[in-house]
Amino acid sequence: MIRYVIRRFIEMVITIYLIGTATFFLLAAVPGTAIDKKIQKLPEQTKQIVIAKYGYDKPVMERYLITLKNYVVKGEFGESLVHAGDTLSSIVKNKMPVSSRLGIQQIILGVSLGIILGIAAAMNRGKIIDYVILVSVLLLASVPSLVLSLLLQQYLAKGPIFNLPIIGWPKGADVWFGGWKYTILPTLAGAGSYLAYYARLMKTSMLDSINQDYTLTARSKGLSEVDIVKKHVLRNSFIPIITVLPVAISGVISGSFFIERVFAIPGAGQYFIQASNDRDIPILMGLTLLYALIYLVTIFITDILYTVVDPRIRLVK
Amino acid sequence: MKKKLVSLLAIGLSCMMILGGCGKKTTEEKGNNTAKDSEQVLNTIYFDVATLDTNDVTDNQSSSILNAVQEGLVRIENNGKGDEIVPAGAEKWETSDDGLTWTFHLRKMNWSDGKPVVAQHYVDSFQRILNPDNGFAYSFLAYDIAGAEEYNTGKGSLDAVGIKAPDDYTLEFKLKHPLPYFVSKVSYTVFHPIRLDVIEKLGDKFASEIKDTVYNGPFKIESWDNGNSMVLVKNDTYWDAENVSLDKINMTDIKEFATQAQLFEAQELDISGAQTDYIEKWTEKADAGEFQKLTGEDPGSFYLYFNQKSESANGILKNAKIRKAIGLSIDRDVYTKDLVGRYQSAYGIIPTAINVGDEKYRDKVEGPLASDAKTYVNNKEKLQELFKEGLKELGLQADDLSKYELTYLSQGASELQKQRAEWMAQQINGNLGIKINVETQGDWGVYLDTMDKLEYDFTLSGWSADYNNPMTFLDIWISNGGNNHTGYASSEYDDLLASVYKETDEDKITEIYKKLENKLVNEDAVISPVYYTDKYSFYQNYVKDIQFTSFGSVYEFKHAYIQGKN
Amino acid sequence: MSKLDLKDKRFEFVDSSTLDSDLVVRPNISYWQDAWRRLKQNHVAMTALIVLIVIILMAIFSPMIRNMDYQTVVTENKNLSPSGKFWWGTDAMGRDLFTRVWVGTRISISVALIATVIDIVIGCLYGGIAAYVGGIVDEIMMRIVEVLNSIPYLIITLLILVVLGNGYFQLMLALCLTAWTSTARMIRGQILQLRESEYVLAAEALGASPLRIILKHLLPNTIGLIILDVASTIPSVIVSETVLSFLGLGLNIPAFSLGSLLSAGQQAMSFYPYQLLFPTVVLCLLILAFNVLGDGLRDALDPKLRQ
Repeated sequence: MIRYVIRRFIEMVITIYLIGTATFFLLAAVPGTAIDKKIQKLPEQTKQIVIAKYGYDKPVMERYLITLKNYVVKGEFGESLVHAGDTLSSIVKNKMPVSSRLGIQQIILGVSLGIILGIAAAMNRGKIIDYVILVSVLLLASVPSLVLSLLLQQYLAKGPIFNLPIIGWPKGADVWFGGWKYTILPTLAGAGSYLAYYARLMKTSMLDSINQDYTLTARSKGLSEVDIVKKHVLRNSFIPIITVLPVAISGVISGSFFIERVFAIPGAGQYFIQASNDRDIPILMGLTLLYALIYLVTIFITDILYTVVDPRIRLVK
Repeated sequence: MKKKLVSLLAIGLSCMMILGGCGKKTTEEKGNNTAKDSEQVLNTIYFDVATLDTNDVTDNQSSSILNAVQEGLVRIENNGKGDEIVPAGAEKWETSDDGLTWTFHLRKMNWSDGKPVVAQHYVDSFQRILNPDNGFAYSFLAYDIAGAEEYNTGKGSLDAVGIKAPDDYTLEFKLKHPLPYFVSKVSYTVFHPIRLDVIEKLGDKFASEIKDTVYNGPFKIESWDNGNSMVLVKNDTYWDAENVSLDKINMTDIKEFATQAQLFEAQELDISGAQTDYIEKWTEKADAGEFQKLTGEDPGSFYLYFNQKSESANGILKNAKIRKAIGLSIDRDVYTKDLVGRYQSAYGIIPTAINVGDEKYRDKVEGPLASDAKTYVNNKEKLQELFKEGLKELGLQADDLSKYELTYLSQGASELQKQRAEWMAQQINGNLGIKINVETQGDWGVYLDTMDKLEYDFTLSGWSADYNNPMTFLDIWISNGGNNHTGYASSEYDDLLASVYKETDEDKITEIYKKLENKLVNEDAVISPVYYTDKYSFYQNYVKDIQFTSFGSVYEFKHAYIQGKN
Repeated sequence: MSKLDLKDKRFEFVDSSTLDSDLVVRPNISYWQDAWRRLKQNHVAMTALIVLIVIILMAIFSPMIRNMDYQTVVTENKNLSPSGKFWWGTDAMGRDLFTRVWVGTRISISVALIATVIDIVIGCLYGGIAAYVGGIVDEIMMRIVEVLNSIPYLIITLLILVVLGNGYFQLMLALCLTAWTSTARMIRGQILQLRESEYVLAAEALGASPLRIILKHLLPNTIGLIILDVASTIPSVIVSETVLSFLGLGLNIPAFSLGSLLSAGQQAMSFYPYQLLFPTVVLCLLILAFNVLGDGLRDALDPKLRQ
């Protein structure tokens, strides 16, 4: 087991290195730089000075090596070229909690409702309620999140029933556990896709388990349907869900672009897209590596979890 | 005008309150209570500030905020009748007879840490921005000062730069040529005074530090979530603090215009711009009194850039008549009135908001294309005739115009921009019969890069004035100008441009401007003007004395106050 | 010898019909026929199929039948509400919305189909080869997949589209870029399982070439999964294309898709809601139909649920 962990760890480091290099050269290949708009009105000589100041005059390989040295040796991840003072750590401190909270709320709402509906659909297979759940859940997932967000904002925020804020997100001390009214609409807007996915996953997984031999055995032993579900089916049905959930949770950190945009939520999703548009290379590099790292670690945890949950699975042959 | 009336009323009231004395009840004002609200908080949209380093500013978002928290020699205000230059850091100034020496007498005022603002702080600012090692974008604005250009390009010494502080409250400039609008140029944010000791202490953090830095303007920055929100509060150490009414300004970033509109209508946003259909809807509401509207001229100009070196379609863009024909084949009035719903059709490059001396340039000189537009626009035969003349000059066939194909480069990924590009292509194709492909470039960086490398055929882009004089639009087009982007290089144009500085008589100068504009737009058809930008702002009835300037801040908050919100 | 005399009353004649009595009484049908039968019984999925066919037919034929110019800008007609002349009203440039929605649907569907086909083909080949060859080749191929998956999708897409510009081909590239990885992984998983199965072992023992094994044995057994993948990839590609069009990274003018119409309609949402309503409804129906059909197909093709 230890050997396996070490091997995976080394692989992760190599992968991260590859990702970083790929991203760097990809970004370097794109025309236009973060400072273009700034130097637009400059006379030629001054333009050159500014370009040199930001290091864009050096050839790509040299810039790559400088960046590599900064990351590995100095642990410096650079500062935003567009928003003075923004560093990777400031983004992690300020923006990630916001996106994370939104994502986690969406997951909690979507996954739990989804699981309940999935169980209901599986247990009532073929009956009307199965179809109703299926269609309504898929309908929710079919509406593009942007349209859904706008509709919620326009028609639900200040209607006759509710009085919810149109935009915004809890700040400061409230970031994690306060200011609930700001979070309601954005959570609703994003929970839909999780709902659809986990409902179908749960239903399929349960049906799979129900048709396994052990259920047949349990039935022939005389156990009631409910007991069968509780003692055997559910436990096994959760396996696929457990293997998929960690990745979803890790994805939460990167935020949801449309929802953040519509509700003016200062999260990481919007920030990342904006940084792409601005060619804010230090930030893009830093965030990409961070997300990749989180993703890889999560996959690793998932694989371990898999062996824990299902003893039949061995990772090493 | 409504605004003027309110201010008169406010003045009248304050006089009454002062005369009323302490404790004694004066005659109640008939009708509404016109005292200012107890809560003086303004909610606006976020200004995307790139840096707090005054010398490094290049955009009007950063400069608007820096104008609110810092102050320079003068402040630009606008009471609805056009931009005015109001003494601020300087109480008064005078020029020598030869127009080469400017002397500013400074007001006594303090920084927020208690130290006084002195002339040396201004000298430091000019010297820092001209320092060639710093590479600040707007250093060129100071080139009228003797020795400035040389120092900034590394060819001269710091000592030769004509700025001096004979004493703590006197600032002296020596120019290299007379410049009647010098004050307008140095009003720009990048020349505000700086504190070298603070910059040294903060180092790299200077551009983003809000707590440990110093302010000398009407407001201070209390909090800043970069990219999302900012809060300004009143600066009690400001010299004119008693005339600043707002206690707090909340700025939040809202990317979706539908959301912004909803907030404005719910009175959670106090000032807003407008787009497309909202312009019409809100204008109606404003006329009905639900809120206020501010419309006016804006010193921005948009025109078609033609790549004079383009080889597309056998290089037809190299011919002036062809460029002129393409430019005249679009109906500007349809564009501004029907398609966009705002802006002003342009027949020259200098917008109506620009002055020469005290008069509007456009009042004195008609747009060079104005009379031709009357005969050519929407007139297929004349347009094609002109086009064919151009073809003959180039020795190309003129029988089948549909064989000529050009690509229109459109900036902007939004549906709106795409629609306008489509219209543009259809207009030209419909009138001239040539084929127009549209290429959209959503990414600004790549777009600029493409223009810079002259890899396009023609595109619509614009320029906004750096200061209030036609030169800001005319000096772009010199040969090898960094912002030329067209490949136009004419020694006649360059010489004509240089001759401006040799004249001091305003009428003679205006004559030269007229010749330059005509050559640029009409004779050489380097560009084809499309529209001048305008101002369209809406604000709540309870927001008073908010100012919208053309050459200063986007919103000038100094005199604003809230009255009658609840 | 004399014949055995079976007229003995101790023997009763039993005909062969009773020999079949303990067999399940139903005709012997193939896997595919059974799947189709089960699908037909699934009313919801059949409804979805019909809706899908209707949409596709409308997309192909209605612009032709209606024969209205949907490209030329006619500013006088802008933003008109639905009427007898313009069934679904006009857009901001005065063009018939009804025709534009169906033309856009054509493009959205065709883009989705082509992208999905490319996606599946690449995914199958990649996953199949990785799984069959195994060993270090498999490791490297899977690492590459991981790297591709780790870089956030939008970033890769944005950057690639910025470098290559807009257009049909570029859009296709962006859509296929990372979608094939999930197909590859799924196919690889399935083939890894099948590889150890008996009939493959038998084929190898009989001396069949690897290619023949892949084509004749492994792939057909994964067809079920592939069909499922197609049914769920198409809607996700449609959504991706909508998002890209919305961000302005879609097709070049004058081409447009449902995504572009959605983006335009969203701008005018408060004033002319019908400009958003019609494209959204068609888009949602399309995605919904594919999803429901996919669900139904999964149920129909699952051998464990055979009845």
